[in-house]
Amino acid sequence: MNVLVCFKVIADLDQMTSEDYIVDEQMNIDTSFVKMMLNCFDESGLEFGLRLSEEAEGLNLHIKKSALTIGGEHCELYLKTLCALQYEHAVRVRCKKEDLRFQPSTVGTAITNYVKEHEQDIIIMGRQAPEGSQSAVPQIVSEQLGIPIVSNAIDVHIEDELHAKVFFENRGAVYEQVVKLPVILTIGNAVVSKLRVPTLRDRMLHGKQEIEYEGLCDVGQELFGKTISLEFVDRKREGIVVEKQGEAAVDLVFENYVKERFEEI
Amino acid sequence: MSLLRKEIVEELVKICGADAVVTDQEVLEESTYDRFRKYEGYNKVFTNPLPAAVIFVQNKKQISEVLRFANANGINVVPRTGHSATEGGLETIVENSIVVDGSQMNKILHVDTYNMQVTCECGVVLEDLENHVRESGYTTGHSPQSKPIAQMGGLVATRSIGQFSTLYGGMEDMMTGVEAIFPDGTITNIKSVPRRAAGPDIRHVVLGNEGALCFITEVTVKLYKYFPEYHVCMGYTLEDMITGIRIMHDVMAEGYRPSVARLYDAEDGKEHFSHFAAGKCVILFVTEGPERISNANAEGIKEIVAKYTECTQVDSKLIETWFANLNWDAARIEEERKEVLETKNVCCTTEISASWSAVEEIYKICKERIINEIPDITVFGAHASHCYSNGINLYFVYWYNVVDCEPQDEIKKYHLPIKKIICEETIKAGGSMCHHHGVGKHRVHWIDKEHGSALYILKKLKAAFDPNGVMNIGTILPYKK
Repeated sequence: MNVLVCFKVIADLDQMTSEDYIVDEQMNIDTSFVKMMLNCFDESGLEFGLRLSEEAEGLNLHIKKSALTIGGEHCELYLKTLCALQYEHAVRVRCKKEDLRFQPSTVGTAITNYVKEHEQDIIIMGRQAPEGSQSAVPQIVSEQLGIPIVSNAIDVHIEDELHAKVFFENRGAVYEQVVKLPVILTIGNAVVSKLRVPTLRDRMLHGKQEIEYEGLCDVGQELFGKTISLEFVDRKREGIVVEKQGEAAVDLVFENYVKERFEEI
Repeated sequence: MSLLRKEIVEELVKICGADAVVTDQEVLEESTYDRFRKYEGYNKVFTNPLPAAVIFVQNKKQISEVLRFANANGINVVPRTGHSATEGGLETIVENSIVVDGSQMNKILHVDTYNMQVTCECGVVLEDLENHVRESGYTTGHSPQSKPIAQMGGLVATRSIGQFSTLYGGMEDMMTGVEAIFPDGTITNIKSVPRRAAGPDIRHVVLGNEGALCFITEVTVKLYKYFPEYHVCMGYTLEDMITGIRIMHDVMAEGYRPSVARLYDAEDGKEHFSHFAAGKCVILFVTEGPERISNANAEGIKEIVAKYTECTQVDSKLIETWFANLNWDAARIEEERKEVLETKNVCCTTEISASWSAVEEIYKICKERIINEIPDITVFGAHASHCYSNGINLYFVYWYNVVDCEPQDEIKKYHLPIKKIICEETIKAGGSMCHHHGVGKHRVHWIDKEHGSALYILKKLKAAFDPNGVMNIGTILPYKK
């Protein structure tokens, strides 16, 4: 069996202040001075890749794991870590300065091309990334490959060689479904959120594994047009002090803040 | 005959009132440990005996009476404020201890900008104090990573030091006066003066006592004018840690005084600087003060670094952004808790100091031994973050995966063996095994080697001020039943 996890290395936007959001003429915001990190949904996906592999061993199955990203040299460190965690294939689709934030067709096609060359049973992607998020890439890959997609997966297990059991979330409720492979999963608020850490010994043993490279191809017309403006959305949180105590406080919170959400579900 | 838990609580309620005495199971469990046993704590495993109560004291009279009661009845007292200790100093290692928490004594008593000093109660959070004095254009100059949670009493008790120490010094340079209460109930006030030669400097009986001699109630620290507009931030990448140490040496030996001088090796730096210095060491400086002084220091440092051609300067915005996100607040601790529980990957530290001539060897040998001798290490690195004319500190940072091991065995399998190597190698090379986290309860094993013949003074201090041995048993000096 083959599992592909697609991931993105992003800037840690929590380190930015509102003053740092300066849009230049090319509609870019400089984030080069903040730390990089794995997109959180993708990080869950990468850990799922390892867990599925361990689970498969128990079923006398073998999973070959591939991790694919599109980006510059800053991705190498993460790919090396994945090699140390024994991902058999660590793939970087080379991308120097292309702005891929609003080019889901280009990103999706790169993934599709890889899968056409290297057949996969389970393709895992994060639900969204903080920058240029349109949730379009998984849909495009699904369409191009003709593979069904399960969105907002929060947990996944191998059933047998041909099936996986997926738990997914929809409007606050969790559903369980056994799906036939191949399948694409987009990972939401998963039960697993952190990728394990390889030991120094693992890094030495497996860190020499070669990273594999692919190229981006021109897809012509993109899904979205030219970016014409970017604005900082200030999502403020508010703390409200409830004057009541005990049961009365619970009732008040339920009536004013929870009930409507429940009804939506 | 020792008192029963119930009797201890009853007496504490009489002294402090029922509202101040907490015996809730969860609070007691959380009060048995500090960040040294964070892995156990995150897993809700509590190996130390529960204290009889945690008391949230409101004034010095209550503290005096509680200490006198504990002293008369042989009850262990663990003084505490911000609960951010890292070396087990807050662990309750004997049954029915009393945890005396000063965090509700949190008034800033007097900001005296003419005499450049501020007096506050022990429970004032350093960040609150700093924000308060900055409104008037001043700073305490103190900025440890624990600034958002650490409180003034604990910072004095552990001889704390902050990121700007190369200019402002450690707590011993900042604290000018202090009030403390000893186990017999005596309230002592060491007045704040610019300097004096009226016998030994008795501030040092209180400074760094880690709750093993007295309870600190009030602190006076110096103030400095704050000129953020004149800060100069400089960062460089380089290949080799040893070269970095020599640059730090040259800066200090030539007499320059940056407020911040930090050097990260490639492994430790990976956690901080991989976006611009993957696989490289990073050295950084901040100068501050009045414009001309700050600029002069910056110019001098740049000149020294320029002699080392392997250094490449980086955009100062990288360093400024990193600095702005360095401190640990409650949210970050919560984030760490979740991450540790999921990955079983734990980060611990040990900080030492040594002379310039010894530090390179300590760095090399600790790194070599720990990587080879300790299993499941995921990161082993170090940084130097406090410089002196005669030497430097090293802050070893190590991460390991907890493998085939119950939470209660994690310390024995990993943390203590690592600490043992670092402490023993440092002492062997003539350095100190504790730079700024204190001895706590987990470096007492080497306290005799640390002090050598001077241990006599430490033991006499303990015997003189805490003859019944009720103050924070097992801290600084080992507990002997």
